[in-house]
Amino acid sequence: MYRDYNDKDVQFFYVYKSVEHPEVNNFIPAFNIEERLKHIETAKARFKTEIPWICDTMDHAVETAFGGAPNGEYILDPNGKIVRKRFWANPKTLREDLEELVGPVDKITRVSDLDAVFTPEIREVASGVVPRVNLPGGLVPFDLKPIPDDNPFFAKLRAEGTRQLFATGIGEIYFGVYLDPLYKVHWNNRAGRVKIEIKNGDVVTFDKEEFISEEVKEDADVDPRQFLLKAEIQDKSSPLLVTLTYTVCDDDETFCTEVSQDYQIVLAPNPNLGTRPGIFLNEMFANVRDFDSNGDGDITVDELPAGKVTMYVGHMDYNANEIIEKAEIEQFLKMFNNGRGVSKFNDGGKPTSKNQ
Amino acid sequence: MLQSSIIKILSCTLLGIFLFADCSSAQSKSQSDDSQKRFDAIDKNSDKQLSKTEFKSYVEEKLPGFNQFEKLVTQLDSDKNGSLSIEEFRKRRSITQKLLNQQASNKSQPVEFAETFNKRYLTRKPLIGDGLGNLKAFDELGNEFDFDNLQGKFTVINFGCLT
Repeated sequence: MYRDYNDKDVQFFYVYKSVEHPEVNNFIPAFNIEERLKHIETAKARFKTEIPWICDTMDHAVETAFGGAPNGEYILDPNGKIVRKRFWANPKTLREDLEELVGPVDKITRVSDLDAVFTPEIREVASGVVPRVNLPGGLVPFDLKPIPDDNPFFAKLRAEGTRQLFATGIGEIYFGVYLDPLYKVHWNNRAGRVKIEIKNGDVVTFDKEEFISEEVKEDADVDPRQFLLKAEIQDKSSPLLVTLTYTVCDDDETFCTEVSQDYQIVLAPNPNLGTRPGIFLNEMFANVRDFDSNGDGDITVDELPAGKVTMYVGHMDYNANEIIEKAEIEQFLKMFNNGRGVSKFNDGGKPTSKNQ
Repeated sequence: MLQSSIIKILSCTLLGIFLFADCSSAQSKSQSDDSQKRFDAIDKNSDKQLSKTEFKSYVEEKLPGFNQFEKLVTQLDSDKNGSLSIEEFRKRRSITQKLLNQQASNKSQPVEFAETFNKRYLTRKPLIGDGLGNLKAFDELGNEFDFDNLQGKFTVINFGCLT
């Protein structure tokens, strides 16, 4: 579409907002604009796209101004007014809109004309080796403020609470510690384990004050470290103060370092932090091959569940021919687990039938 | 309308129980073990084959709203011997799913989720005809990006998920 209409006085932009599904394609939410710009650089290179990007502010000004659609699409007229808006982008409808507003093009560029296949990066360091914690459903991310220091946030803390915790003050808190692939570092399992220390246990009471990750057999890996804890909120108005300590080495083995970084966890939900794939992956995508009722490896529209055709086709039909081919399924599933596809450890303990 | 909604809800709920019961128990066991266990429980006379009667009782219990039992058996019984082996039984999920989809679409075509959300979204601000006000962000080099500068051309803005 960009190739067809860029010369017809139509400008195109992608907006980079917060990461909607942390862990997919290995991305995790950036902590600052510099990291977001690196995400854009990576995405441009891997998607081989020419379309310019707009980077949203850290307080989500653009996403909010456009109404917060997760996969939204808009056309503004030359006066800057919205003339089309869509909660869920649809290339067919967008082309129809542009044909109506600007006129048809002589030759339509097809997906097959492009060299725009996303290539996931496959890290050499072990992954999928640390069993995932079986997490309860309905976890909601806490608003979380990392306290900047001299080191980058090689590893990033994610904190989530159960709905019961938010409603009653008693429930479970999930701490996930994720290595940021932007920095190409791995855990040094011989040098130390990941440690979380609670600095003000009077705000939230746990059954202990510090948490240390389990021992890992491999010398190095990039799997997240996960902690699921029973918790009781004592004072909602004060942030929970946490120190995260870990040891990482870069993949080129030029440095290893122990890092301690502080976080303030505001005891309120922040939906802008997205949902991990574990929350929805198995139910929606991991068993997608089961829809292949005639067993030919491809999934046609009539094999998909009624009412959810757009969802599957929209996510997985890369060449837009309304057939989800075997290769497209494989490509889609590679977005998980550092390019290795879905594993039984991907989603917190629900093994899949065909992708283990 | 109400009838079709009930059928849809029933189908989803029952399909979930019938098809995905294996998934929940798969946390500790393999799915094929679960299928075998389920098969053995239905196989009352332990002859390693499910007769139509045995299988029918199972389907009626799990999917009371399901009205395509005969089609299901015909499609499962690949060797046409009138009963189901464990291998044939294991294929029940995808075939049942397809038949349930057909059953639902015969009554009413479910509205695509994207269409539903798109309709709702049209009533949420900003509305068609609205401007964006004094909105600023960053370009991909980190410089200030002013949405006011977009004027003069049609502009397509896409928020597609990076992940």
